[in-house]
Order: sequence, then C-alpha cells, then structure tokens
Amino acid sequence: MASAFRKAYQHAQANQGTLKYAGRTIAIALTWVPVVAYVANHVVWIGVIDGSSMTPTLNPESNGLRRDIALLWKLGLKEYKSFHRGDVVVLRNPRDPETSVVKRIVALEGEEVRTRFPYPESTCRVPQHHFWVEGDNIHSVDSNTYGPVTCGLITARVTRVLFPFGRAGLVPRTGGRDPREVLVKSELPFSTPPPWLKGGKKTEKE
Amino acid sequence: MASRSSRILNNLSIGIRVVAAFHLLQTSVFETSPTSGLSMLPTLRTIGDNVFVNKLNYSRGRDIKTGDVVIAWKPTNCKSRICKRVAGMPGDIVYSNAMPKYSTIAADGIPFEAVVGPENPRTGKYIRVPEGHVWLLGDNAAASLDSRDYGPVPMALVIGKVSFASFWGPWDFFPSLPRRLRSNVTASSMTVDEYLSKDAT
Repeated sequence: MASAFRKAYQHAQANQGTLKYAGRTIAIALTWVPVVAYVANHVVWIGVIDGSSMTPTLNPESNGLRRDIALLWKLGLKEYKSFHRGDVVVLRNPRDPETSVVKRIVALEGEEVRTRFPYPESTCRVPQHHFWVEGDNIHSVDSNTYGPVTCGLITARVTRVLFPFGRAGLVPRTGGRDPREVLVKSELPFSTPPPWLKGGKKTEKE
Repeated sequence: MASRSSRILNNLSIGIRVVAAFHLLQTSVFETSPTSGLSMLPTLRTIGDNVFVNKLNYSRGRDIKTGDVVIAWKPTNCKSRICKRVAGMPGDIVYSNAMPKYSTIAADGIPFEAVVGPENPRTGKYIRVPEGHVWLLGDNAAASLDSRDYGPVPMALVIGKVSFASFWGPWDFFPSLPRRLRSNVTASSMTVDEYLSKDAT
C-alpha cells in the first residue's frame, strides 16, 4: 500500500508540468461558469419537459417514457407586451415555488375568459399584468385551479421542440383541447413579436 | 509577445467573465439596492436607503417567517420590485381591512377559496393565505400598495430577505453603518385555530 502511494507520488513528481497544466486549464474553465450561468438564466437554455399537462403538443406519449427536450428562450420576459395569446411558457408553480410548470397562455390582461370546472365562477377578468394559462391536456392543473398568474412567475418561453427529431420544430400557437373562448378581447396595441418568434405558425388573426 | 488583436480578445474575455461573475453574485447571492417610497416609512426612509438583500438563503421565500422584510417582484407590474413585510405565511388567516382602489383586480386575483369570511367593502374580509403564497404588507399602512390591493403574493416572486439597511441620502456625507432590520410582527395574522376560536366568542 505504502509503496503504491510512493509510486504515485514519484509519478506525480515526474509529471509535474502536466499536472500544473491540467490544474490551470480547469481553473480557467471554472471562470467561464458565471458566463454560462448568465446565458442559461437570461438568454437561452434547453429543458426537458416533464409530465403530461401539455399533451399532445409536448410529450404526446403519456406513459412518460419519452420526454421532449425543448428550447427555452428567456430574453424579454419582463416585457409584458411581448407575450401573445397561444404562447407556451414555463412558469413557477404559484402553489409550490420550487417547481415549474409548462402551460399555454390563453388570455391576457383585461380580457375576460370562460373558465372550467374547479374555478368557482363562470368567467374571470384577467387582472393587470396577469395571464390566464391552461395546459393542452384536459387533466391539467392550471389557472382554473389557482386563478390568473402574474407575469413575474414566468421563467421561459418554449419556442421549439428539439428532441424527438421527428417532431422537432416550432411549437404551434394553437392546440390541445377545445379552443378557449375569450369573451372580451383586449384592445391594447400589442407590439410585434420578437425576432426569434417570427415565422411561427400564426393561426390567430389579431 | 502576443499580437495586438489577441491581446484585445483576451482582455475582452476577461471583462466578460468579470461582469458575469459580478452579475451572478448580484442575482443569486447578495445585492444592495436603493429603495424609495413611503410604504415602509417607520423602518425605511422615503429616499436614500440602501437595503442589503440576502438572496442565497431566502430566494423564492425559502426560509422566510412572519415579520421579515422581503424584496419581491410586484404582481401587478413585471418590471418593478416591492419591499414589504411578511404579514402572513401559507395557511394563516389574515384580515384585509380595505379594498379601496383596485377592488375588482384584487377580487379576481385572489383564488376564491382564499376568502374565508364574509366579504364586505366597508369592513373588509378574512382571507386564508393560499398554499405557496405570502401576505405582504407595508409598515406604513396608510400609504402602502400591498396585498390588500393585489392579494396574496406567490412565494416564487420573493427575491430575498432584507437583513440590513443603511441610510445614505444626498444630505448625508457618509453612509450610516448598516443596521439590522428586526423581524417585527406588526400585522395581525392568525392560525386557523385562532380564527375559529375568535369566531366562537
């Protein structure tokens, strides 16, 4: 045992230059960690979609064996006007701050939306800087349970499916269960979509 | 001797890394930021305060308690931040005395199950703070726009806890030493049992 250590020490002594080079390279690589963290938190990252609340748009196989990998854009999340009806977003669960959920924006601020079962009233007017979000799957815990969600909870936009290559492409702006009826559409002038969202399938005419 | 362009590139990359490291420190560990406004008046001055925000242990409301001063994103405005005191934790019952200006917004923003008592625009109502939410109030109740207007705030909006504050206004030559903000329980929140026993009497 001791001889093995001695041998390793001798080996290290003999290859001191190599070890120094490796340590230096690792140290330099570590200084790039904050840059990667910045890009991941504020520009773009990829995420694995878990759960079946956006079936069939994301994770169409509900057995949970194959999970989609999606592109998450995080630029301009503080601009309320850059969100549109039909966008798929990642948001912090209002009921549990440590988890995130993926939902589709159904209504924007000032709009009145017809609600579904767990919600106590038949319609709801979305407050200032809030969204009405719903999952495409009928078995989805969404705004019908926890009410309109505020803009600050949104952590990313899901713009593109990356991994099953057969379905890779832009996430459609419509989909899922029967289209929700927005009773009073907002008259606010919305800005043009950001450049990375242009070219998406815009079936909705605004 | 490296060429001129490679030296420029090298300096640029060092600069990017330093700025990113500083940004990471500010967004996820610790931040000092100036505050303004009347809403925390006895505790924080109207202008010229710097609050020291601990984000490492308290972001997303992880370890906060009733009485802590926190920084959070404003629910009715994506871009602005608020500094308020936690008056109720999930499951507590709080009394909201006034719904003056934004009553329609608040009524829709609060999940229906939150309202446990009879709602009356004159006398206010009892509200059970929903799971994963906190009830935020300003110390200066008369001039504070807080949970009484926009309802319970999701814990995910909480950025961090204000542990120290230092006064440094335009009229101060030197900043004051950072003083610890005490965790005063100024607002009356109660547990469900207390609410029920109060109802019985």
